[in-house]
Amino acid sequence: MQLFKDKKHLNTRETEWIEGAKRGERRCQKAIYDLLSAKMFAVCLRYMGDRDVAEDILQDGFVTLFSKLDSYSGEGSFEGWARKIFVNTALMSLRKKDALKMSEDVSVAWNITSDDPTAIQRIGYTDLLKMIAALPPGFRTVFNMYVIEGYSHKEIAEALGISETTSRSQLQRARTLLQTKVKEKY
Amino acid sequence: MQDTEFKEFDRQLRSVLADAEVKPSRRVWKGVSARLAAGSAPVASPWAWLKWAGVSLAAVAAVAAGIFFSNSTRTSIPTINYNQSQATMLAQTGDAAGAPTDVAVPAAVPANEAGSAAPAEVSRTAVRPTLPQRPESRPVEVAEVSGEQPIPETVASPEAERQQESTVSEPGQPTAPKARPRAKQPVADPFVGLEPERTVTRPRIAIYAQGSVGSNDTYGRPAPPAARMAPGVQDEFIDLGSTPTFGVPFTIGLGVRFYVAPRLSIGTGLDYSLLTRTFTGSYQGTSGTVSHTIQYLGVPVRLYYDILTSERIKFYAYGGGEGEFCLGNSYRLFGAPDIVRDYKVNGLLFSVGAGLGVEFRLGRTVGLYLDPGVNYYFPGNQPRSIRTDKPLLLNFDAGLRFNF
Repeated sequence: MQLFKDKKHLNTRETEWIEGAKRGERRCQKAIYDLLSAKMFAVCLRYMGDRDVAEDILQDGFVTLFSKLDSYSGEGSFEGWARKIFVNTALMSLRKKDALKMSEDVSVAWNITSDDPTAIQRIGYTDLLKMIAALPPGFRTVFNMYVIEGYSHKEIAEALGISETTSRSQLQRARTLLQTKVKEKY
Repeated sequence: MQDTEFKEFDRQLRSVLADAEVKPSRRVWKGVSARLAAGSAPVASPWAWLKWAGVSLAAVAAVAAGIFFSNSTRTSIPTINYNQSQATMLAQTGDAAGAPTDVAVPAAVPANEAGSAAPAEVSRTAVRPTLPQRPESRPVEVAEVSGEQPIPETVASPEAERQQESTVSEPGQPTAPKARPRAKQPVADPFVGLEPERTVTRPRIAIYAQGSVGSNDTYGRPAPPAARMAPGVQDEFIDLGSTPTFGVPFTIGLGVRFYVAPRLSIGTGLDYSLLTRTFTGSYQGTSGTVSHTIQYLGVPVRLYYDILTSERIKFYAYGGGEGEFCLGNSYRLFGAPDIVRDYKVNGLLFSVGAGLGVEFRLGRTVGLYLDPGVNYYFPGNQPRSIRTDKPLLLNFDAGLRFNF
């Protein structure tokens, strides 16, 4: 599953699949789907929090991916390129549903820290995904964009139409809630 | 301290989630495959217009059935000419003023001739036996049904009353005994609640309010060489070539219809149409799903020819054309944030159309109509829409028509 990480990992077979998918060959599209779907579904689950909704996003994302495949030049990571599509698809859906209502209340104490910083390592990603899914949409979105995707607060603020302060506060509250859940579990 | 802890927390989360994989259900690929085959976006059924048409037809059928069943009692008996009966009554009572409450009901009904007690209220069926014996009423009834000749709603002239009186007094005809002067007592008018049968007069003017849906089936059909985008838009919003999804075109309108000949009328009005399209496109390097909405304001001109007309239903054929001005031409590229651009469209969208229509009379002035038909649109330089991709469109108009 480390295929498509970047160009150097693209072997002849994957390159052929991409080229075939660009031509609309269903067999190649299915091959790319089989390789990426599980990983991208995890991305969708992180953002949407609901399996059915995440599957809808996954479907939308793959349709977009195949329709935009011509714009992938082959430079850079194919998986990274694909991941952006799914993240954007998820964000679009959240925006359309008006699910990104951010709380400006930053008065919640942030001083909850994990007594055992290594506890999270003992949690599998399945449980972690469930914990993230249980976060409020605003928290979850900022958390995913900042911690996992590596966006800056400025980029998040621009993308979501919120202030950087709000982005920071949402992130902190998300972290706090997650740490609480981790402590409860361990 | 806290930042350090959070950074460590974040790092651990990233490491755990980096290779997270969850297998989706098989329906996802089925959906992806189906959409790749049909188009880029979730597609409405190519037969969606048929569903709308079915709903319209079902509604019309239900209303028609309701009308006919609710009137089955009335239509099962001979048509009662209220005016004629009233004139007879007036002649018998000699009350020229014709106040219904002053009519001595028992004197007018055969039941009384048989010596039965005078009922205070007479049902319609009680009146029924007297009517076939009045030959003078027949021509009028035929005229009513055929709807060719309007008759006055009330008999007001003394001449008419005299004529009625002389007619009903012919030898051999059953006549009620004259009981004049008769003590006036407030009795129920047997014709109360029996509306004067409205003759099927041709309205001179009709005002309509309508909604309309059209077909949106374009799958497998290439777009004509008409502009694929609004003029000047090609350099900004770029259609990536996916098969677009068209929404069902929807129109609402108000209008008026004038009769210029006994069967021929001309109609015009104002229509508002909403056309939608979804496609995969890009705008200045940002790609995604684009929603394209076009709004038109149009002036239709149609000629109507009445083929068959009865009291309750009317069939007609129509044909005409329409010129439509583009009120709005908006593109929205869904993203974070959405990109929304509006473009002005010059020129008019012209179309011609024809079809057959049916109108169900719901009341004296109101009719429910359904006009299935075919329209052909001349794309010109209009932005891409269902009307430019498929100029020949099925259309279903349905609405209410108020006849005056």
